[in-house]
Amino acid sequence: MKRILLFLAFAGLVGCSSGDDSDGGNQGKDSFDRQAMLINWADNIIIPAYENYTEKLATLNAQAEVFVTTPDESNLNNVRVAWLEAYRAFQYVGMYEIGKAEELKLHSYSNIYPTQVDGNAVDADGINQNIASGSYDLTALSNIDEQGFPALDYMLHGIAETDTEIVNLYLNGSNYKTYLTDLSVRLKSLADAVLADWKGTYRDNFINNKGNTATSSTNKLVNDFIYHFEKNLRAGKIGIPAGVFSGGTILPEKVEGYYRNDVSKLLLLDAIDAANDFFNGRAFASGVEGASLKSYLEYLNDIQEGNNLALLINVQFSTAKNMADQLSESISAQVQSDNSVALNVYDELQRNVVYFKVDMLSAMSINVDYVDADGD
Amino acid sequence: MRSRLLLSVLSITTMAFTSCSSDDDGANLGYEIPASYTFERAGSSTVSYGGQTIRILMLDELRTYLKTQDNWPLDANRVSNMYSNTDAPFESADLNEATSKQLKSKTAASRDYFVNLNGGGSTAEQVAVRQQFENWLSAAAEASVNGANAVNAEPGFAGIADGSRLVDGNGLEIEQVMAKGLMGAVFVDQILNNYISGAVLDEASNVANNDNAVLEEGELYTTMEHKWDEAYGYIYGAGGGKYWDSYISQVDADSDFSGVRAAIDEAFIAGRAAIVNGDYEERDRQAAIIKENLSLVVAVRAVHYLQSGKESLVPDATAAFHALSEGYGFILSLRYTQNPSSEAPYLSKEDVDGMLETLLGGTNGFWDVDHLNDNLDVISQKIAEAFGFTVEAAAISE
Repeated sequence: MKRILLFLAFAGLVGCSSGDDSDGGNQGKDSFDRQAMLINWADNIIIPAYENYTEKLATLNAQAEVFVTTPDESNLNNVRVAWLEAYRAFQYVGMYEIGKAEELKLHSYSNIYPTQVDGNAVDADGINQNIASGSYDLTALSNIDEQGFPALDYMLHGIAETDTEIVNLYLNGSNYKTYLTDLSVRLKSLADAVLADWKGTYRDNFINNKGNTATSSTNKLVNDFIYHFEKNLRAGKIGIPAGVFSGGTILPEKVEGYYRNDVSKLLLLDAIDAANDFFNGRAFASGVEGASLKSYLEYLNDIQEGNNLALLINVQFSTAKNMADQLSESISAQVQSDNSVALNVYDELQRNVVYFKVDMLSAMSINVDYVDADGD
Repeated sequence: MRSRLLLSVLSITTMAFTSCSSDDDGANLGYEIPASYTFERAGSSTVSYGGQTIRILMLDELRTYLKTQDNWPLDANRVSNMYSNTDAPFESADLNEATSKQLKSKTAASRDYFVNLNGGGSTAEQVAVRQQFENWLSAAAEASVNGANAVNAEPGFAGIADGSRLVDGNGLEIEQVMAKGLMGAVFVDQILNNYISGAVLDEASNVANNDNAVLEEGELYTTMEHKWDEAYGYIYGAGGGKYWDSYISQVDADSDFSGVRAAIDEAFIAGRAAIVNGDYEERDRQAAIIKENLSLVVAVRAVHYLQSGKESLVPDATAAFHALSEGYGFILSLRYTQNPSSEAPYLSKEDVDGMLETLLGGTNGFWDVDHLNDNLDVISQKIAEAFGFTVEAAAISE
C-alpha cells in the first residue's frame, strides 16, 4: 500500500481515487505517446510473431502430410520436430488475445491441456472417440480440448507405447491420419485468420484506438498481457502442476507437452522470454527495443522504493528465469521429485504479477478488467 | 474518543505507536459514526458476513468432532474432509451446502502475505502450513485409536491425558492446536492481511464504485463495504462471543490491557463509517488500530498460556498440556499478525518457527519439563518484547 501511494505521489496521479474517469484521469499530465507504442507492438512484435508462427505451422502441416502419406519412424520424428517448433512459436503469440484472436478464441482452441483423450460423464467424446467415429466438428466448443498442441502431443507421443506401435496405428488406420491432418490444419487456419486480420484492417484500427478507456487498445492489450502472464503462464504452466490451486496436491499430468514430457520447462522459458520481450518492446526480428511498457514506465519516472519500476520488473524477470532454469526439463518430473523448486518459480512469477497488476496499472491509470472471485 | 482509548492501552506499554493521529474524532470528520455496527441503505442493512459465520461454525464442528469421545476412533478421511469441506462432512446441512466455503483454502491465503508475498510469505509456506494442519488432523485420528481404548498418553505415545483430552506423543492437544492455529492462519490472516488491507479494499474499481455507490450485483453493499464486513465477521460472526471475540474480552478484562475491546470495536465501526463516507484516510487509520490491537491480543494470549502452563509443569506435566497446546497455537498465530508500521508480522515466520520448534524441542515434547522450564520464560520474553508489554502483565489476568 505504502509503495503504491508513493508511486502515485511521484507520478502525480490520482488514478485510484479519481472515480469515474474511465477516459483517462491523468491525461492532463500523462502525455506519453501511446500510439507510438501501439505501432511498435503491431508492426515490430505482434505481426512478425504471427508471421513466424504461421510459417512454423506451415512446416507442421507439410510434415504431417508427409507422415500420413508415408507413415514411418523417420517421418514421425519430423512431425514431432515441427510440432515443437510451432509450439515454441505459439508462446510468442498466445498473449495477444485481442481482435480476431479473441473472437476465434485462438489461445483456447490451440492450447487447452490436459487434452481430453477419452470421453467422460460431462463430455462423451474425447480424442479416441473422435478418431473412432470419424465424426467431429473442431470448431465446436465441445471439441475445444480435443485439439491444438496438446491433442497433437497425444497423437504424436502418447497414442501408443512405442514409436513402432504409433507408426503402425497410422499405417493401419485412416482415421488416425485424418485426425492428425485435421488438427494440424485447424491450428493453421486459426492462426492464418488472425494474421490476415492484422494485415488487413485491424492493424490500423488497433493503432488508432489510442485513448485511455476500457476498450482502448493499450488498456485492452495490457490487460490481456497481464491476464496471460497470471493465468496461462504463472498458473497454467507451473502453479497448477505444482498444486497451488489444488490444496497442495501436485498434478504432474497437467503440464504442456505431457506425453512428450521433456519440453514443459522449455515452453515455460519461451513464454517468459516472450513476455519479457513484449514488456521491453523488443522487436521480434531485430531485437531492437522500441516504445513499450518499459519506456512508458520510464517516462512516468516512477520511483518505487528508490528504484525504477521498469527496472524492478526486468530484474524480477531475470530472477524468475534463473529460478526456472533450475527446473527439470520435465515439470511433471520436477513436481514429483522436489516440488519446492516449482513453487519458488511460481512465486518469482507472482512477484511480477503484483508489479504489473497493482503498480504498473496504477501508474498508467489503467483499470484491471478482471477480478478473481475470492469465495467470500 | 477512539484514539484516547487506544492510547490508554498503549500508555502502559512501550509499543511503538505511529499509525493514527491523536486529534481526530467523529466531530471533526463531518459525518456521524454510529454507536453500533449498523449500516443501512434505503432502510435495509448493508452488513453481510455469512461466509465468515460459516467458517467459524466449521471450526466449531471440527473441534467438537475431534474431542467427542463417542466419535473415537475418528474417521481420518472425515476429519480431513471437514478441513476442506469435501463430500458433505458436517452434521450441519448449512455447512455442507456451503460448498464454496472451507477452512483449508483460506489457510495462509491473505492478499498481503500469500498473494502479494509481503511479510515474508511464499506459496511454499502456504502449502507447508496447510499440510501441517492436515498432518495434525491425521495425528488426531491416530491418537483417537488409543483414546477409544482409554489408553493414557505416555512420553512418545499418543493417548488420553489430563482427564479426557486427546494428545499426540509430544503431549500436543490437537484440538487446541487446530483451534488456536486456525484462528491465526485463517481468521487473523484474513482480517488483518486481507480484508482490511488496502490491496483488497482498493482493488480494481472498488474506490470508484464505492464513491458512486455502485453496488455488487443483487446486493445492497459496495464491494469495499463488504470486504470490511468480512473482516468484521471473522471476529463477531456466528452470533458473537466465539474465538477472537471471546479472547478480546478476556484480554480486555486484564487491567493491564483494558481498552483493547473498545479500541477494536470502535475501529471497526469507525472504519466502516469512513468507507460509507468515502474517507479512505480515516479508514486506513482505523485499520491500523485494528491491526495493532488484534495483534496484541494474539501475543498476550500466547504469553498468558505459556506462563499458565509453566505453573502446572510439576508434579504432573500432563496438567500443563492443555495450556501449552493453546500457547503453541497462539504462537503459530503470531506469524499472521501485522504491524501497520512495517506491514509485516510483529514476529517473523522464522522467529515463530523457532519458538514452536523450541517448545517441542525437549525429549518427547511437552513431557520434558526441564527443557520447558528453561525455555518458557525465554519465549514469553521474546514475544512480550516484540509487542512492548511485560511477561508479568500478560501472565496474570486481574
